Amino acid sequence: MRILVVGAVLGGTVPIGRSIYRGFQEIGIESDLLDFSVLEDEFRELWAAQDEQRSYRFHIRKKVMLLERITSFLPDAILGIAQSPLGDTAILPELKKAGITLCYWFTEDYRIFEYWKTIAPWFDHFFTIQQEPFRQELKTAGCDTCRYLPMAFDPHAGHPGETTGPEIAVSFVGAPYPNRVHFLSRFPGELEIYGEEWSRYPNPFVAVGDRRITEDEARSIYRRSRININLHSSALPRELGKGDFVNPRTFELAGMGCFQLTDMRRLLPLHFDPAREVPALSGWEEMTKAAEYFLAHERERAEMAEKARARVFREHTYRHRAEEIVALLEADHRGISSTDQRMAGATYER
Amino acid sequence: MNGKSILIIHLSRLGDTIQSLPAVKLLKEDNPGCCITYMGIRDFCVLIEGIPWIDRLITIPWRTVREIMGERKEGQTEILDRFMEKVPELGERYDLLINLTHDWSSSYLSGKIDAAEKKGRVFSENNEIVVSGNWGKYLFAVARNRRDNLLNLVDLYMGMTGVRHRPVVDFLPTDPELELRCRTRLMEMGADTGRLIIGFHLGANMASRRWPVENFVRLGKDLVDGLDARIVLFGSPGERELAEDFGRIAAFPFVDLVGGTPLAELPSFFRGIDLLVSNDTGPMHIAAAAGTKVVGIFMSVAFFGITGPYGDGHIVIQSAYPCCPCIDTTVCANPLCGEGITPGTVFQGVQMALDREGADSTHHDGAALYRSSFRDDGTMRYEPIDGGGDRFLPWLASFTHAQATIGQALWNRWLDIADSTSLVGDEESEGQRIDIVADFQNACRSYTEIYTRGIRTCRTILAEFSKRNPDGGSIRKLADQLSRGEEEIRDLEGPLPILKEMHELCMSETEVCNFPKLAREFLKTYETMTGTIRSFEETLREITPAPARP
Repeated sequence: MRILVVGAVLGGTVPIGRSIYRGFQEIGIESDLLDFSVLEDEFRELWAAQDEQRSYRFHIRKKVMLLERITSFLPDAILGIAQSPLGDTAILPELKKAGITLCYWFTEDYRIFEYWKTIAPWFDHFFTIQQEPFRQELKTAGCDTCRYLPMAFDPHAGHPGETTGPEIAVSFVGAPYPNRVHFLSRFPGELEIYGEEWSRYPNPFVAVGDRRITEDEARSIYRRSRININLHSSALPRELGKGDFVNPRTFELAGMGCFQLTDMRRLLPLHFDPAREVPALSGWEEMTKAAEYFLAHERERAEMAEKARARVFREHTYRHRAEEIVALLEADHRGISSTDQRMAGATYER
Repeated sequence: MNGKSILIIHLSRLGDTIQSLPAVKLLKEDNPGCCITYMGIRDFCVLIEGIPWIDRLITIPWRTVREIMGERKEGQTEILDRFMEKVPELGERYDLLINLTHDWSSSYLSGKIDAAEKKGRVFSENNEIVVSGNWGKYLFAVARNRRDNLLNLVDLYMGMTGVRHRPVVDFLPTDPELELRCRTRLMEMGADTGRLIIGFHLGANMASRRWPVENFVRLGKDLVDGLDARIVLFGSPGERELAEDFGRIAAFPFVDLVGGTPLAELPSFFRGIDLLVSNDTGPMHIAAAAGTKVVGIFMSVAFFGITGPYGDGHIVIQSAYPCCPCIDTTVCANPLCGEGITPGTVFQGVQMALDREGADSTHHDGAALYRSSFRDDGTMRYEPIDGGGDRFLPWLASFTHAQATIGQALWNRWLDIADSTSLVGDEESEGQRIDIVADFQNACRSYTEIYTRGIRTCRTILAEFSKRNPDGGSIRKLADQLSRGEEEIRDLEGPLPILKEMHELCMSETEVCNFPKLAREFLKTYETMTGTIRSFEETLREITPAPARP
């Protein structure tokens, strides 16, 4: 089986493409990665120039790159990653006619990014990081081939061997979504905030707020922090403890063996024990008091971080996700009905 | 109320039916000449047929209840109107109607029934659902905030019916002859007298609420080995599979009555045992009502605060998992919280309920234990049994309980429970209490700020309307300000979620009208809510620990 992974041009989903590609390689699947991030600089330039003709030419170029890679690699299946240019509804039916199984991993919050409505019905397998009511909405939009595929950890992504820099008591790394701005402004203790655009907000804890934190920098911060606050993004300023999907950072921090405190997610208990691996809280008062508690309980912190790390290596690396995708594609190949496949995936159901 | 007629509508599940009985008993005790009519689900009412404080029982078959009850759907009003015609008692006039059911249909029926006074959730004259009375509002406000409430449903029902709170025992009488027959049967089956007889109720209406059968077996072995107990399994015919699973694993003798005890006989059987270990189910409440000690296991969506067994000396074991009770309506297929409750912890609970010496109160990391008792004001409380050790889950359970305890003290005053501040026990660490009180004070300030602004805006709107030529533009702007204030309240987070629900309930009573009347309606609600917050602040001042002397 030959699988082509199509990555995004820029943004947080770019590394997902690379990681799942490595996952396929690891399990011996003949695979290729079309990494569109090579076009990032050009894209940013065009975005700034607002030149319609150049933009159009850029889009044509992306299509050509895609078709060239397909014709040269001749995949049995293509896996598009969220934000990748695998959403041209003129090309997708042609690929299907050519016998290529089309998959898409929509690793975003469907309530914020709505392009799934247009593209989802064209895919043989549409993977999501959310369950109901997204599943129902996908059905209404004409897609009944969705399947829950949570995020994962890539043990092979570059990690600094050593921890450099001073220890941090409590840190947060990420963009200033409304809920983060609201809650982190009320953190009662010592905190360091890292991330682009935080400088817009008058938060005394902002350590770096005027530029994007690189992946290596982020990992260094994770390792140096006694407690990593992992507050999932939300457009609702006061929302805490009621969200559903589990973000990539949860898996990354856990996989790196770094201790984290996160907000309770509906889907978290499917992947981590919220009491013994990744402590999750349902209120901000609880969260801040829990930070105090864990600062004073170093051994318990280390035990939990280690348990979370072990769990990731047992169940949540990209290798595990690659295996799941391949099992599904092989079942397709053997002609197992989609109902049976869904039944097979029922371990993830609530 | 003597000689008056009272109708109670309670088309709810078995446990709720049992939990309403103490209030009904007190209602009759306080008003000996009154005539109480109780409308319930037939399948569950077999338990309450003939009890002396219910004069008339209207029983509705479960099939009909499923058909007529629930939230609003097309053609529902016609179905309910036809139902009313078939039940002549609903056509009578009552002095007092109390609706203890939570849904749209019962509210509609309550609106239609002729009664001088109505309590609970009812349709108003404008066909709007309103919840009358503070107790009714409180009950509905806590439905989505169960972790923040520590008042038992029995006490909430007492409040709704308007009786004075006091401990109630013997509210589910049994027939002595039947009791004897059940005891004989237990003996014949092998539950010999002289030994400790412990019942297990293995089932629950949702799989996720069932403590694993393997755990029950391990607990059974510990009880047989450690306390020389005889285990008796109870359950409905639909729970036979659980009993068979139990039998396959258990390597000790036990009595299997699953499927062999009609519901009407269950209280009599429970009187023949020393203690029942059960998931949060109707039979758990039946055992408590029959005066049998209960060890209740609460996990998944179950939370002891509102549905813990009523009475003195019961033990509940509540999963301490941070996701418990489950958020929203989604629950895990295989809940971790059940694994966190170990047979060893439940064994400790059994020993504590039996007042056995040597009950070790430590090592219950995944669960928190609570013991029930009555407060001076007559309400029941569950107090934590310390012993989880210096670990995250026991810490979290202690923090959330301390938070709920302080929150409850605020609401108790609002509900007019006499001795509210006694809820705050001395055992809470001072530092933790100071922090939590500060969180509550901040939350009160946030609400006060919005309400003060709202009151000012309403008054400005009314002043504008009193002018000869009111300025439509500025009124529109002021109305927008009111809308923004409402949005801000919906957005508020913090330790007063019940207050937010209460705000919604009070706003739902606002008459549908236009400005300037609407401004008067809003003003009334904002002033009422401001009064509530003032009483909270007063209570918080009273329970704030005095600063340490230098």
